This record gives sequence, C-alpha cells and structure tokens, in this order.
Amino acid sequence: MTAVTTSSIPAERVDVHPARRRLPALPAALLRRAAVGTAVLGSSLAVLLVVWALAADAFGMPFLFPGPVDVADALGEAVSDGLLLTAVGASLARIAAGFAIGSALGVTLGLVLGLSPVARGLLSPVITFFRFVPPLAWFAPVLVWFGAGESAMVVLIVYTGVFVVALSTLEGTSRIPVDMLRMAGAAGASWWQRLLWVTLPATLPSIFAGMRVAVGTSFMTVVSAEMLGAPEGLGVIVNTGMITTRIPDVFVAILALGLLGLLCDRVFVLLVNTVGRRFREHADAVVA
Amino acid sequence: MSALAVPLRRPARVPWPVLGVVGAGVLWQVAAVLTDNQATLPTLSSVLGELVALVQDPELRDHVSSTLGRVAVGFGSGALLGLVLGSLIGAVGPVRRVLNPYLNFLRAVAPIAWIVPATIWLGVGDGSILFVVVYAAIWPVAVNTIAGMASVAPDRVRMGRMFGLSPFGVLWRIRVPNAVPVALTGTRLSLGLSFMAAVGAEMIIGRDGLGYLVYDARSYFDTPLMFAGILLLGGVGYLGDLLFASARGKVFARFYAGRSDA
Repeated sequence: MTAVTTSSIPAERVDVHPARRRLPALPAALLRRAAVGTAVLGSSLAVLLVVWALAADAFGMPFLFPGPVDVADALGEAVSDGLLLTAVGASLARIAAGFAIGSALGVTLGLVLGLSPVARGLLSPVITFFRFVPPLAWFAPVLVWFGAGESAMVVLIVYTGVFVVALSTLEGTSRIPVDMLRMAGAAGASWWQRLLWVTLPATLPSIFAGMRVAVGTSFMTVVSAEMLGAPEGLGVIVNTGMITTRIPDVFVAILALGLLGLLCDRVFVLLVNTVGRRFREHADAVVA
Repeated sequence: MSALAVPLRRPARVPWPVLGVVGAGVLWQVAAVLTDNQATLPTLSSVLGELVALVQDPELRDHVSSTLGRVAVGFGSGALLGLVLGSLIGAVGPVRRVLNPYLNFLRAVAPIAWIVPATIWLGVGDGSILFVVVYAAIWPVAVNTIAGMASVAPDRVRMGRMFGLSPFGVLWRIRVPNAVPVALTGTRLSLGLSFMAAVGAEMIIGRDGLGYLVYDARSYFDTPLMFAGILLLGGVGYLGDLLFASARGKVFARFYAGRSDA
C-alpha cells in the first residue's frame, strides 16, 4: 500500500554545499535576494495585468470576461459591504473544524495501523477503498444522515482529510528504524513511552506532509459543497455569480481562494521546515 | 526479550485483508437490517443488486462510461500538460523565477471554482467539466516534475560534468531521469484528484455521469443507487490506481534503480 506523498524535496535550487546552508545568511545578501525576487514578481505581475486588461478589452463584455479593473472594483465592493469577509470566515471555519477533527482521527488511525499488523491487515483494504471514493460522492448520503447544514459540510471535510493523513502517518511509522525502537526498549522505555517519545516524533514529518495534502483537498471539498447549497461561503459567491452572471464576483472568489490556499500551504511548509525538521532523516533538505 | 519493541518471530498467516472486507460487509448488512430504513442505510444486498443494474442497464452504463471517459481524457491531457509545464519550469532558470509564484497561486485555487469561467468560455456541458478535470490534474504533476529536476544529488551533476556532459547533457541524462519517479508520484496523486474534480463538476453542472447520478438519486431518495455509485467510484478508482502502479513498476522500472520510493 502506498501512501500519498507530496514533494518533500527542494524545488527552488540544488544545494551545492548542503553543510553551508546552516550558517545564517548575511543580511545584505538576503535583502538583495528578496529585492530581486520582488522586482521580478512585480514586473511580471505588471505585464500580466496589462495583457489581461487588453484581452478583456478586446473581448468587449466586462460582465462575461472582466478585466483587472472590474475585478478590483468588485473586490472593493465585496470587502466594503462585508460579503467577502463573511464568506472567507464561513469557509475557513468549516475547513478548520473539519480539518482538525479529520487530522486527529487520521493520526490516531494511522498510528493504530502502524502499530498493529492485525489492524493493518483488517482495515487496509477498507481504507484503500474509501480513499478512492471522492468526498463529494458522499454528499447525498451525508445530507440524508446529517441534514443540510454545517455539520454535513464539516463531515465531508473530515472525510477528505482522515484517510490521507492516516495513510501518510502509516507510511511514517513504517520508516522508523527498528533499532531505534529496540534501543528505547532496552533503555527501559515502556510501550507508551516508546509511542510518545520515539514513534510519534519520528512520524511527524509524514504527518505534516499528509496534512498539507489534506488541507489542499479540503478547499476543493468545501467549495463544491458550498456551491451545492450553503447560506454563505466562497463557494456561494461562485455559485451566485454563475446564476446572476456577476462574473467579477466569481473572480474575486477565485482570487481569495488562491491566496487562502497559498497561505495554508505555506503554513504547513513552515511547520515541516521548523517543527518537522529536527525529526527528519535528512535535516538538510528544505521543503519548498 | 519482552522489552523488545518489535517481535522477531513472524505472526501466523491469517488472511486479515479478506476478513476485513468480509467483516465490513457483514457489519453493514447487519446494521442496515437493524435500522430497517432503506432510505437512510440501504442493505448491502440491495446495493449490490443496484450495482449489477449499473453495469448491465444500458442507460445507467452510459453514466459510468461518460465519467470514465472524462477522467481518462482529462487526466491524460492534464498530466501531459503538467509534465510539459513542469519540465519547462524545472529546466529553465529564468522561466522558473518568473512563473513559480503564479504556479503556486493557481494550484492553490480549488479546481471546481473555475467551473464558472470555464462555462463562459467553453459553454455549458462537457467542455467545461473537462476543463475542471484537466485543471485538477495539471498541478501535482507540474510541481513534482519541478521538484524532481531540482532534487538531483549535486555529486551526480559534478560527475556528469567531469565526464564531459554539456549543460543540456546534464539536463537530459541526469535531471530528467531523476525527475521521472517524483513526477510519477505526482501523476498518481493527479489521478485521484481527477476523479474528485469530475464527480464534483458533474454534480454541479453535469447532465450525465456518476456524479450526476449520485446527486440526482437524492431527489427521489434512491439511496441504494447512491451507494452503488459510491461503491463503483471506489472500485474504479482503486483499479485505476492499481493499474497505474503496476504500469509504473513495469514501464519505468529502470528509473527506480537504487531509490527507496519504488
């Protein structure tokens, strides 16, 4: 059984001298790199905006293909009348609740699977099956069981996360060197102590990797679920935009989704590179 | 000896996976019979009957084949696009510096949100569903291709240079082979996401397909049909993944030499 894996390898550039990386970079060099990065991003963004504006102009129907100015207007309006903030708050609250429950369940399940061969044998076919059922396919049964409302959406997000995190955790436990556990045992650590001080820390990088995947797919689930029926949320903005053909609003929602998703992803990268780093096999590798 | 963390003897062979599947089935049937409400929890036997109908009834079979077709076409072209995009970004430094922020932004947007722009540009129907599936499939492949190209052990690049490889030679003979397994991991992730995207898009704007079928079954409380669709989705997804994994082992075996992620 193979767990879902993310790229845990630096995408930015190859370290020619891995050992040197641990030295703190000079502030001046760091500053220069940041400045160059900003300049490149700024100029490419400017070019992109101009091309976008020209294309929208050529299309000639701002309601169907809005230019950057129309989207900025819509963004300003959505921010000032509080629509965007409510929507972002509602979507994030659903994700946070579902993700927290799903991750906790997933880690527990993954540890149980990793520690007990019997549980692994019994449950792995069932879990593998569930992993391949798209969360949205459960939308209809979940509505029947939990009624249309917040709890139904949270349950769908829990479902989205739990198996990814569980399989990732399982993979992490399978990578712990047996000698490490034996040594802890020989030093007198009890079963619980081994679990708490050896297994869990050694699995943390895999857990974070699984959670990173889960948070990305949670956004997908929440948007689709909201599009199918919710009082407020980013998916609702997309859906009403589709019904009333207020396309600039849809672009605002897409912008918000991209930025939020990026932010969540970066938080996990940060977690992996700080908390997870000291428990990793190759502490030099930086996840990008 | 009892302090050892992992027992050295192998446990006796018990067919646990088979027991797990059978146990889950029995548990379901018993729970369904006890709750005795087909609309909330249909019995396994009725769902299996519905599943047979799904495969045999030509009208229902069309739903299955249209979803599978969308996933196949969308995943195939999306993975190809992701590969091209990823290799371009991974191989050319300036391109990477310019495009990386946009790549990160675009992959963070939930694919399903693009359904509205896609409908405007491509019209209601197959085209826009396909767009969403392609969009879902591109990013994991692209990101992993880039990562795979960047993660070459520096010593291998140095060795290639020493043996007289040109920069292009380093790219083609060292970086690309190194990227293959990582890119394949991303591709596998993409396959799952393609299913997710296809089902979601079909539920929202579809007129046919398994997603539409499952969602539509809700309106007349045909819960057994819903579960048959879910079973089928899980089964097909699993088969697809299995197929992918075995193809990967056979076709791309040489790229896995000496790696731990085979």
